[in-house]
Amino acid sequence: MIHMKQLTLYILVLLFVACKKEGGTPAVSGIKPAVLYSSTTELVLKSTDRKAVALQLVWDEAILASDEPVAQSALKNKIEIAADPSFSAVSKSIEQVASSLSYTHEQLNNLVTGMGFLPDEKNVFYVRIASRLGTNTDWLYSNVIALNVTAYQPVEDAAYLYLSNKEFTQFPWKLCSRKEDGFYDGFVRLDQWYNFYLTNAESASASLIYGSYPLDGSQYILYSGADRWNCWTSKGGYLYLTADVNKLAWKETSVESMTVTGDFNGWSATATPMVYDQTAKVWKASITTTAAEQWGIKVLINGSWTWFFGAAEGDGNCALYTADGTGFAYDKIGTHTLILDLSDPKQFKYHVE
Amino acid sequence: MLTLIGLCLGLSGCNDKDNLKVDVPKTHLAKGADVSWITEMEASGVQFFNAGGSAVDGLKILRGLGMDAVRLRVWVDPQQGWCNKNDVLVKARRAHHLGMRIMVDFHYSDTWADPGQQTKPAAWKGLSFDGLKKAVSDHTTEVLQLLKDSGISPEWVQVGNETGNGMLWEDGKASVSMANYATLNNAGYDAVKAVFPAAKVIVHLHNGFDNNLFRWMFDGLKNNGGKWDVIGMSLYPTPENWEERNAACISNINDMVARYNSEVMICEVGMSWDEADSAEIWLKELFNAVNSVPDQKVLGIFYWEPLAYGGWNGYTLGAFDNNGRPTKALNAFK
Repeated sequence: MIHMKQLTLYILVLLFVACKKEGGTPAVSGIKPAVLYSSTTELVLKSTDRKAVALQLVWDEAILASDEPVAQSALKNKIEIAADPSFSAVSKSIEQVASSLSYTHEQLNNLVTGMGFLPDEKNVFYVRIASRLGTNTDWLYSNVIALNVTAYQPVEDAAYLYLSNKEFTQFPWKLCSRKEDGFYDGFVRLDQWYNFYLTNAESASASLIYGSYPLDGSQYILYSGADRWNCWTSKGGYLYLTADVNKLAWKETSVESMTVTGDFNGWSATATPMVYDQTAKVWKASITTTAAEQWGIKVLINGSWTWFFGAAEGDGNCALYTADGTGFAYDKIGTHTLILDLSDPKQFKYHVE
Repeated sequence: MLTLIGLCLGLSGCNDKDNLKVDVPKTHLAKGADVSWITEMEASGVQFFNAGGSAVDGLKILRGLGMDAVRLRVWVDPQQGWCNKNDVLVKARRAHHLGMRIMVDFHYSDTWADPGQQTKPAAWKGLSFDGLKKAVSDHTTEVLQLLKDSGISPEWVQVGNETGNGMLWEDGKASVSMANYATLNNAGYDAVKAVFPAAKVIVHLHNGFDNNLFRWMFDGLKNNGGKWDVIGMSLYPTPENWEERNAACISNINDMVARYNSEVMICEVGMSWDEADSAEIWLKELFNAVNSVPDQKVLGIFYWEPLAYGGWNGYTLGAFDNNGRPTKALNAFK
């Protein structure tokens, strides 16, 4: 049940919001521009620190006052970013409910390179806070802060886990979380009983090192405590490894065969096996075609029609499918060698020689 | 008519539950939250929602629910920068602007300091014991002066976090040398008082129900000239044992008051977010119990990282549900 007194207030608020210019009785006071602060005004962004916080903006916003309860969230704030101090063209406007905004090096680098900043050149941009109460009142603007920023050349970023030997001296394989969701996978070739760890950097001083849980029978439980045991493969050979850091579990699946299939062999799951080249770390098969493959070709893993390499965006790219999908392009005619490179799980690749 | 009113309310935004009264008189009992993760959570896209489902500043939600104080941890040189002095200042400024009281929690580490690890900051590793004392003092001064220069005065400062076995191991490991720990603690204590003479310095241990631990530590500090104003405690019971743990904690509090004439702060509490019914009853009982301690000797209760939800850092003892809304547990802070 809404009390009449509250109702009156709400109506007054609405009147104020709607009729400010006519001088309606203010039901809410304290509205004024925000005061903006920045953690720094000069910064050199670094790709090596890309996940670290680079810049923090914080502002004292107007605190709404009234005799009756008033929702502070009625006040809307946005951060405006522009290349010129008069904000003649706002490059970016960000609505924000919190009264601070933090950027990592990577986030800020994306922002400024999007504004046209070139790598390794110092440039300036301007930031201010715009606030208003209600949609039909004028924006109030805070002080303006100038930020001098040097951007970096964006780097190919991928979420990898590196497979390390027990001594952390070799990192022969890596797994990738292509969706950056904590699920990593990749293809590796390991000897049976090979001991390994999964690390977040190719270094013995990686900040995150997964082994297995130090209890018999816990081989497939990922564990990063100092008392971890190493992981090992009981299967060995060419393997599909997955590591789910949300569920803290890893899995190994033997790859018994890779076979090429298409119109050229009547979509046979067995007729054209690929051979693994240990030195080059690629799979190879000789294919003879008499016409361009109208549906593309697929490479089946263990003869499966629901676990195969098929079409992906971009020339020379293929993707791992776990359900039905289309093949990848193959338009050569005659006898050629198909080469499948699975060594970088961020992007599986193929080419034809 | 009611529909129309509802529409108007919706438009004006006045039906949100983040009403702020920043000039509320301070009660003796601080109702606080450790919100140290908030900026990092926001930067990674986490949002917080009021009961009505609108995305709102997490700090304002807590303020609107009756919490009037924040606790902010400080790391010396953390790997990703979160909880360094600049990040602490951002959060302190936000809380201060909302009229909230502030506790600063020095870990004297680059990462978590707790009963399991009290690792020296990387930059302090090679220091002599005297160098370590100076580093504690300098770091404490630097962070507090930054706040002071911004017009922010913490009411309480924790020298060390869950230092049940000292801090800055191995030098400051209490079980090895209580005298060393007391010396390092005093370096922090004196630095706090030099910047903020009115701030109360807290020495904070885990397991607030464990009277033996507290007697061992505070007898030890006392015998070695260790200084503190307030004894801090953590308390993380389960729905099954909270009654017993509350009773033991209150008994411990009464003993601390009697034995050292000390004030007490419950610096950290938490229970699994999906046990909100139990958590609400437990916390209400805890507030009742600490209110009944004579002479207002208990200064407050702080919920540890209530905003953590949805698997954030794997932490499950927050007080927000999987949809980013506050649970009933926070009713105890009204």
